[in-house]
Amino acid sequence: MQKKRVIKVLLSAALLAVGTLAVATGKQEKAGPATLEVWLWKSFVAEQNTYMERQFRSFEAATGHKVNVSFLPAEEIYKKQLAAVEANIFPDISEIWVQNIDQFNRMGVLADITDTFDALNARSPFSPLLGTMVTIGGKKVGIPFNTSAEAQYWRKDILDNMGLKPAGTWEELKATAKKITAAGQLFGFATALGRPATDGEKLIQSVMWAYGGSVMDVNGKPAFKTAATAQAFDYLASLVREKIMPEGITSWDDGGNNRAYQTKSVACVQNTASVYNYMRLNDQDLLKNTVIVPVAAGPKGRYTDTVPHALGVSSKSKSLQVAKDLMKYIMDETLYQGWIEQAGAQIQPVYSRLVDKEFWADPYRRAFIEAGVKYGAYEGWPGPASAASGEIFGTYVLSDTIQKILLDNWTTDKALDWGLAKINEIYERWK
Amino acid sequence: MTARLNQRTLGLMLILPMFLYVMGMILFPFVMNIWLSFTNKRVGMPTRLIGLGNYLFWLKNPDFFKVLGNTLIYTITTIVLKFLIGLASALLLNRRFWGRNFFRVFFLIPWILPSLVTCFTWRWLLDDLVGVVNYLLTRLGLQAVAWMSRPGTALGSVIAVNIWRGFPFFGILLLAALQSIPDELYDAARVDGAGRLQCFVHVTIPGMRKIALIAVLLSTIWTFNDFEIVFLLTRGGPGYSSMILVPFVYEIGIRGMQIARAITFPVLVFPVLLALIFFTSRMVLRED
Repeated sequence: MQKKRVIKVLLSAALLAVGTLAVATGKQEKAGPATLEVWLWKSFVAEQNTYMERQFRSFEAATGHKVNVSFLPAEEIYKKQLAAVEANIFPDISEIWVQNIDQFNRMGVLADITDTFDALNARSPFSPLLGTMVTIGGKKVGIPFNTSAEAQYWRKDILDNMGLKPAGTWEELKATAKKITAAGQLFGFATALGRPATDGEKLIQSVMWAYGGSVMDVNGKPAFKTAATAQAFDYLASLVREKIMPEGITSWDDGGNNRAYQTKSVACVQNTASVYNYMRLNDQDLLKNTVIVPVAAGPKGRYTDTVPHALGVSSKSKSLQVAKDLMKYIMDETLYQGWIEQAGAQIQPVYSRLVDKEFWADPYRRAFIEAGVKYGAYEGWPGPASAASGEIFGTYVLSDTIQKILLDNWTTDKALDWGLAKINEIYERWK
Repeated sequence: MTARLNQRTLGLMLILPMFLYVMGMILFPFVMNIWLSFTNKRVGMPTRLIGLGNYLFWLKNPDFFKVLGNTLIYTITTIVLKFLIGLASALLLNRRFWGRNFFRVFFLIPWILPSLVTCFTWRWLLDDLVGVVNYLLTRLGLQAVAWMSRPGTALGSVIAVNIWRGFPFFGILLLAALQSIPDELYDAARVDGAGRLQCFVHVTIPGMRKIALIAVLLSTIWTFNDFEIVFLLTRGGPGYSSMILVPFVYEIGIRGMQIARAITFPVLVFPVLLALIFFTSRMVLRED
């Protein structure tokens, strides 16, 4: 009798607790002004983030709605988005790499915002290529937001002293960098080639595409193991083995290139405009001794991974219309151009009309807009920006492959087999 | 009878919050994890049962054995060295000398500092181009070392940082244990002709035994499950040369989106930890 009573008491309490929890977390319609959660990529350029934050405060003042914005580091935002998908708390608006658009759409977290895209496109046309990247099944599930092209920075003073010029091709870069490193003062070239850095994935892709290789073919199927890709990987490995690049690049994060150039430890890095913006604000002497040129070319052309970004709206947003209104507000051409200028060439515009603005006439910034417009590519190129190409980029398959060659002393052939197996596994999963 | 019933009911009501907590926050997730390990659960995707597929995947995967091996090396090496350095610190700080109280507080600093501060400081110290350690090495005419970039030194670097951070924990517990040993035992031993080493072996060590075992057990569990030091310093690289269990599970489960596969790894390793806790608890609770 007593046992029964005890069990009743415990069960009642447990049910009460569960019921309270269910009510607390249940979907309830919001009355009154909305509160939007917005996740954006945290730029190295503080003014870029500050300007966007001011835009949100202006929107709040104009509409009475509230915007909670989180600026998240590039290395962390994707992981947080995945955790948010699983926890069912995807933010109302999030900045997404275009190669992840397909992934998030398949997970059912992106809303159809064709109406918003069309409205903005009518006011100021988007780059047609970027427009196709946010289109899935005829619907627009994202708004192109920006691109982030890379260029190569060279120490003009070092080059002049040694009678050298900024390299136009990857082979010239190796020869020039080798001479600088041999002189003993600093390394000729350096870029992260490690697991904690997306910079490494971007560098490897630039070189691969320049030699005619690619992860996927034009139809989006794995095409990794080719003679051209092998040539590209051999080239990259030689930069480390011949001590042209510092040994530490295999553990650098996305700030490694910046640190190396800003501390005057290397003569050339490949990076976005973050290094330029640091020099512009903190080290004018170094900027005066720097020349910024497009990324080196290979036998098959010149390519830079622009990693285009888009804005997506959560399909479960309780304030879908307010989210669309916010996107239209911040993507207004004039306000948008202001944001682009505050970013100091760190990002390039998605509106075709804005690429010829006076802002880009500056000799330091010109390399970035040229890179974006003339040489820009993305994960999955020459095929579509697919879920598989997004996961391949996000899981550092290319960096792991080059590390098999550099650290485990695998042959290029064996490493490419390993990389291809990984790529095929990812491709089959998303097929 | 009524009074006893009321007392029993009161007792049950008082433990109810803990019961709900254990059920909701520990037992339920634990059982859920084991169930998920038999599925193909990926982020944002529906779940399907696949039986032992994940277990077979890991048991045939060289990365599993590499990461498990790294975890065991990381745990055993850091525990042994933290214990020895902690013991040496405790023995030193147990002696009377000028400034003893200041040093007793000072040596706790590595333990008190937030992990983020520790890791970013060490990342700067060990930086291959602008790090303080390499600066000193080159000033001494030696070659700079890419501490976090070579497979041979990356694991050693994270081990060193873990030891630096963790030895004060052992030191403070062992110091407390030393101070709880009555002086009379030492006096008695000396009267019986025991030398310093014999006093240490037959008085000090038995007196510290239980606390030392608890310190080892707790530190082993924490170290086995360490995340921050490896994640912030090397991310488990280069390659997987410094990768240990928890950062690996994070990488597979979150960045790789493979939740079920990630969960399977710790489920496979859980019996090892359970055995460790069981045997250590028995040693602590055993009657002298």
